[in-house]
Amino acid sequence: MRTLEVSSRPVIRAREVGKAFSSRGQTVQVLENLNLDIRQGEFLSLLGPSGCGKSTFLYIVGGLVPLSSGELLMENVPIRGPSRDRGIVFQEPALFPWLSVADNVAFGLKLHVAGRRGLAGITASVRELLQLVGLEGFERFRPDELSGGMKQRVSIAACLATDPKVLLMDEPFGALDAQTRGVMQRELLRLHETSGRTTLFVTHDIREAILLSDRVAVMSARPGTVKEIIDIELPRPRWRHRQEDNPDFLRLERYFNELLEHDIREVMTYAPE
Amino acid sequence: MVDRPEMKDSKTSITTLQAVACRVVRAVLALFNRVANFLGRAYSMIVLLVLWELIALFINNPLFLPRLSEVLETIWTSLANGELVTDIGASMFRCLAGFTLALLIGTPLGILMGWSPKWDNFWNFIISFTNPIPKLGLIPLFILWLGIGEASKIAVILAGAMFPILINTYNGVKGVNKFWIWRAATVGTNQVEMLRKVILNAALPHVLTGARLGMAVAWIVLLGAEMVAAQTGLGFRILYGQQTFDTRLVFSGLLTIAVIGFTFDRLIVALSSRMCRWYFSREDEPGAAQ
Repeated sequence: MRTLEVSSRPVIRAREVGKAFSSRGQTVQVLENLNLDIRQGEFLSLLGPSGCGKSTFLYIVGGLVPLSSGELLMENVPIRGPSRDRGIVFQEPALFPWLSVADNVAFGLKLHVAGRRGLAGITASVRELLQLVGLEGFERFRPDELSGGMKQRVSIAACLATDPKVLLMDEPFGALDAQTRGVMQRELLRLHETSGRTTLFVTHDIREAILLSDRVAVMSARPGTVKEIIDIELPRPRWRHRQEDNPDFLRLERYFNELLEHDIREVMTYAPE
Repeated sequence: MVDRPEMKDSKTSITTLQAVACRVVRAVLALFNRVANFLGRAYSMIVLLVLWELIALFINNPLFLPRLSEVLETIWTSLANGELVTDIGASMFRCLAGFTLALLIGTPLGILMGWSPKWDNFWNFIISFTNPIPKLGLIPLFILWLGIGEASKIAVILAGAMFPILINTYNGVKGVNKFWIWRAATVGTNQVEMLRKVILNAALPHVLTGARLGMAVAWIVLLGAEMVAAQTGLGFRILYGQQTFDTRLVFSGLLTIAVIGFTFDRLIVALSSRMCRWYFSREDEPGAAQ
């Protein structure tokens, strides 16, 4: 097992990031003055109520949505578009339904590596990746033959295939039932704790954020901004044992609940025009 | 897997003959199933054809409505003497040539228009403006431009079949799941790969639906063209039947077109469900669809 070292060196640095959408002549400020560093090797969760702009921020980091103001750097270079350095797992597993599980995982590999490594190498990496997410033997299945949890495992494998420096996850377990979600969280913990890949994880689930993260950035809504960053000092590796009964865990959960309650009330009473 | 000895025993006791018999029975049952399935959907057609025969028998006026059996006889004799074969060949050539060109132009143009706002802006009004022009109305113009031969007919079919293919493809591309595009973008897909590997595949069901509609239009336009100016083809055959007061000839042409059109339609449907199983088999499995 690799050592889990989180350096203080930020891989991604967001400074005063703002994002405004305009629809029907009205401008909605989704993000404002958002400051956040994502450090090398850490698992950082972005926690906030629905509609606070946390997914938008993740898309901006992914280079899929342009920012309106501020500065966003990856390794001191401004992010201008999507890149293989930043792999994304979306809430809905965006698998290509016309490709088999193996071809979905191999999609990113075949684009660039085909010449150098050849098909045999790709087949081997695909098998390895599917093994990693517990889906060996499902190579030839079609995405619609799989359950929601299995599909999300495939998209995680497909995302890891191109070996991104940063993994961006947008509520990847949000559409799964509670039991499957629990299993997937533990597997993600194992993946992270064995690879130490820098991860930005978006969620509205407090327990999920505490369980997985090194740090949790809590967002407030309208306009969305990071209002507090909390270190989660539960010892790692965490994937072997239940964490949810740990008194520290419960204390953190209560703390986050109070922190978020105010904002959730505000969002609920907000009437969209 | 647990090794179960009784399973092994029963396996070894099956002789080759029994195995072969088993396979034959299964094949026969499958065939029977398919025939029954086909009949279940085809019986309405059979009823219609029997009704035709009976009504014609009752009216007893071959100039107004010849009996189905007479029409089939005409088809048979003209197949035997080669006249009908020539007509079918001529019509099929024109239809497939025009349709193929329509597919080759309509699909890429639809994809580019759906994908790139620049292409969309340039072509959108042109398409909206030319689409409603009745394509049969273009026949005289194309004859003036291209002469009375094959070129003008193929051009009219191209004009007729292209629009449904183009518009369906365009809408298909517009409706491609944003997350598929995003996922491809984050693994480093360039524009060409995006169009070829993602957009084309995602829009293929719509291209094929367009092809199905386009094929139907192709036959409609073709018949029009053949009635205006042709010495061969099924359209000419029908017109000739009318001019010689041979209603059987008219019906033999219509029936032949119906059979060919049906065959092409089923071919495209079969091809669609084979090429895009992910799209067209969704209705069969409720719950599997996302």
